[in-house]
Amino acid sequence: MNEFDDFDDLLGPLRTPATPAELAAENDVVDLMAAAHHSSKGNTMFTSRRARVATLIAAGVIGFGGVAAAGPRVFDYQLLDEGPIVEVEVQDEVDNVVEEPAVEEPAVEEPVIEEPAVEEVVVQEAVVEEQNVVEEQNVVEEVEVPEEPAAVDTDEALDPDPTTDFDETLCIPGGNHGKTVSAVARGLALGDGRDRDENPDYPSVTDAAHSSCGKTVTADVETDVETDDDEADDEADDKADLATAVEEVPQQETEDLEETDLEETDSEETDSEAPQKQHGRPDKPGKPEQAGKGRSDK
Amino acid sequence: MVRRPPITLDAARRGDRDALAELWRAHQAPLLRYLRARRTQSPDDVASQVWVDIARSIDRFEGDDDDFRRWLFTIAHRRSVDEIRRSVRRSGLAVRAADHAVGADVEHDRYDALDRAIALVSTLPDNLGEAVMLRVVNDLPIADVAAVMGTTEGNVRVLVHRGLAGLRRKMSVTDVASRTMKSVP
Repeated sequence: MNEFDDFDDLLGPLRTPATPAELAAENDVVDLMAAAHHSSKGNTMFTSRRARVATLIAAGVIGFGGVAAAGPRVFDYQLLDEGPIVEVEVQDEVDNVVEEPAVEEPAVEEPVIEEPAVEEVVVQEAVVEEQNVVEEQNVVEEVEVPEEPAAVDTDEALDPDPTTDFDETLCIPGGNHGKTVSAVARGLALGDGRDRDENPDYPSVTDAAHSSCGKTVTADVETDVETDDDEADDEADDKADLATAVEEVPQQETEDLEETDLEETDSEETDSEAPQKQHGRPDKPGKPEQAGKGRSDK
Repeated sequence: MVRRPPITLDAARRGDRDALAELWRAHQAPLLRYLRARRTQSPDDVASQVWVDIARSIDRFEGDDDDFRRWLFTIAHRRSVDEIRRSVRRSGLAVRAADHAVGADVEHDRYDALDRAIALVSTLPDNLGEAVMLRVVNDLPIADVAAVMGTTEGNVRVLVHRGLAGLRRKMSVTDVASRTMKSVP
């Protein structure tokens, strides 16, 4: 008896024992229960082991998948710094290889072509016809094109070193950087002719190379800035050769027009004019000899 | 009051067929009436599924007879919910549409006392009838009823109170209807 006895009239039948109709399917249900218990007991160990293995495999797959999914962002860019850096460097190299000829070629070629053209125009006004100027421009292009990669490599070498002890007063007046370094290397920097071993104050070639001699003057001209010391000398030699070549061609034409008796005097005049024009450029002493060599080489 | 047969759950855990049969005989009637009160479409089939589930997992069961009854009705509750959902999807009709038919059965006195009682309880809303069946008919503790229904003990008390009040109103209406039917020549 409980607090719900007031509902015995209604709920009493619900508490009665099972009727025969309710227990009619006893044998069938009990057979099902026994079979289910037997199958579940027989498969309990197998099922549990299989469940354990499946759980481990699933956990491993999910964990590996999660790490793999998060890997590219976590490891490559945060923990493993070497991977992306290598890729960036490769990309930079590719960019340099691709972009250098596309971007820098016009910047280098334009002044190289223009400068001889201006010089040749000056020569033309005096003597030469336009055809000679065109021919000389072609010659200049053929000569100057191989120097393009050298101009790119000299960017770092031209940076002045503020720690150098080189005395800027020893810079050759009006000369470029290469002249100064060459003079120091030859022992002519002090102008007294003494050997560097005899003078303890003689500057070293390294200091001269790191000095800013000639750089301020040539900074306005792109062609001089982008050349190395030796290459600047070669370039100057080439220009001198071109100047002498341009002068010789019209002089030969004028010689054909003049009388044959004046051949000896004309030849002496041409020999004397070439050095005069080159002496007109005080930064290139002694160049006729080198110009002759350069002409023979080319 | 449901009589608790002297069942050894240990024998049932080992898979003894007689022990399983005795468990079934002791709890089949309350289980079947519980499922019928919940308006399960095929209570016999659902009860069989519940017993199969019991047999599959009884080797891992730990507890006494009260724990077994709570476990039994918990499985029955879930199975009945699944069956009601399937039947609603199949027919597309609300199960509560059978309320009028149940009331009509009560009025015509076509069933015996047990069937009338089940039909009357099944007219209650689902959670009220279930609370009444578990708490009043099967005498489960409130904590066990709350565990079976997945609700709080306070809510179980409210549901039982409202269910009994509803049954009282329906009983009075049924008495008036029966007296009216008897008075008609």
